Amino acid sequence: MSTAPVPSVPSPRAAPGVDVLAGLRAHPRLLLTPERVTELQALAGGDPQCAAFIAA
Amino acid sequence: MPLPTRRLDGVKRFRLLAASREVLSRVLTLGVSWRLHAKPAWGDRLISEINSVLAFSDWHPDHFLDTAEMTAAVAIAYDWMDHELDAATRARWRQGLVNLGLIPGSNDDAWWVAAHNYWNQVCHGGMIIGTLAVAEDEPEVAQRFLRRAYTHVPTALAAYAPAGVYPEGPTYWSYGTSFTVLTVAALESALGHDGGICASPGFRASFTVVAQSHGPTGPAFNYGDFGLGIGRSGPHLWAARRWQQSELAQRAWPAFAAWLENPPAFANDSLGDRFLALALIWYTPVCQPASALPATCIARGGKVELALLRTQGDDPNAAFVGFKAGMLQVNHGHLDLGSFVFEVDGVGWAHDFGMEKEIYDRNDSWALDQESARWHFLRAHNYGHNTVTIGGHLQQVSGMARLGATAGGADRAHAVLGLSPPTRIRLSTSSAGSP
Repeated sequence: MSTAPVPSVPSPRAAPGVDVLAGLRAHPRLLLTPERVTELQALAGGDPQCAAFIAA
Repeated sequence: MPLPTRRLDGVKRFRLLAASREVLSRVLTLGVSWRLHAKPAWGDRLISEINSVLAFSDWHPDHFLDTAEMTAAVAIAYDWMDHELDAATRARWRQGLVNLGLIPGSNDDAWWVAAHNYWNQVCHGGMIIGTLAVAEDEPEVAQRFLRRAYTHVPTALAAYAPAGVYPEGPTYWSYGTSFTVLTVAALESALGHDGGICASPGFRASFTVVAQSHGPTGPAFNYGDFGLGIGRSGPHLWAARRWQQSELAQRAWPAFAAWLENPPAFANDSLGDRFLALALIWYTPVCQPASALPATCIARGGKVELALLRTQGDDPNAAFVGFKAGMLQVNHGHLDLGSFVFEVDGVGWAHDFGMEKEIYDRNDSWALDQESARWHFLRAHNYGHNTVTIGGHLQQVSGMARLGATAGGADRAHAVLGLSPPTRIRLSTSSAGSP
């Protein structure tokens, strides 16, 4: 595994006054970040399973 | 392949869900392909898909799963295609997301908002992804939806506590958990945190329980309204990556490898294949895990309890016994206390029939009282399960049976379940293969 787990943050974040949008990143920001795209493209170069997955 | 149309499917209860899922599948597949390779045809088709569904009169909010899945699909497309759209198109897409997805989902009194089951996970998940997509332009809407979700999603996540057994069975674990994984992944990629979801008691453990509930020949212990299996489980790849649990990826990967060797012409969405492209996002090289999944899993203390015993972790000829305890009054549940599955030497000798399709076509088969029409179906009551029927009676829906004494070791394990006195069932496995 190459990615360190992201720590779970304590709840609740619904408290009044808390900006629940703090840290909002620019598009594209949902699920597949530009950094992850770069990682997958690099993985596909040396990992046959990843390359097959992308090709499929 | 034609563009989506607003066609409702069903016999007695009509849904847009098939169309919503098809659009989500296409958005994810076209979108991931386009993000990785940027072939213009894929981006063009993705734009055409979204333009089609934005022309719908509505996304069938009467059955809000339909709206939630469509909202997630359009939101992901809006986010991923951001740099490809001109300002007018972006505004039109954003307005469509708000009018067709978010406004219909803004009623705080909708029953799913505080539901205890997978509806909560799917519907809040769709709304969270929708609001994260438009957050900088609709900050008040986004703040409101996120606050509401942080308040009410824990109600559904309580179902995983304490040991990770999802009461509604593996199929609905897969549906609800897929959307919770989507929610966490979207929160982390957009805001840098998971909103506390991953710390919910039993949530992480549930991935191990589901992996262990699959017998050596492949099928899972299919209690409740359950189909063939959870198939290619992208959430397990996500979990393996998030918590660095290689053993989960190792257990999940063979289903993907088989698919890659012989991909079907069309995805089989009954196996959750609309999320297949997400599995690529969560892909991680499968390596030898530091530790194998343990042979014995005793998951107790929740609404449903499971005893899952096997002689060898990954041996296809291992003996495997799973049986079920706990409560009966759970959504998608059956009268199946004490029901068991059994495999040995690569043969499944005792399985559960799983879901009854006609239950889904009726409106009167969802009540969980003793007189419910639900218990007219063989697959739903104790006559149709591998359990004892005492005095010819149906099991009492208000009943409960907790696992008793259990023990698990390297060469022998057992678990005891007391049903109604004086009947008791004892099932065990041993390394000699003589359960």
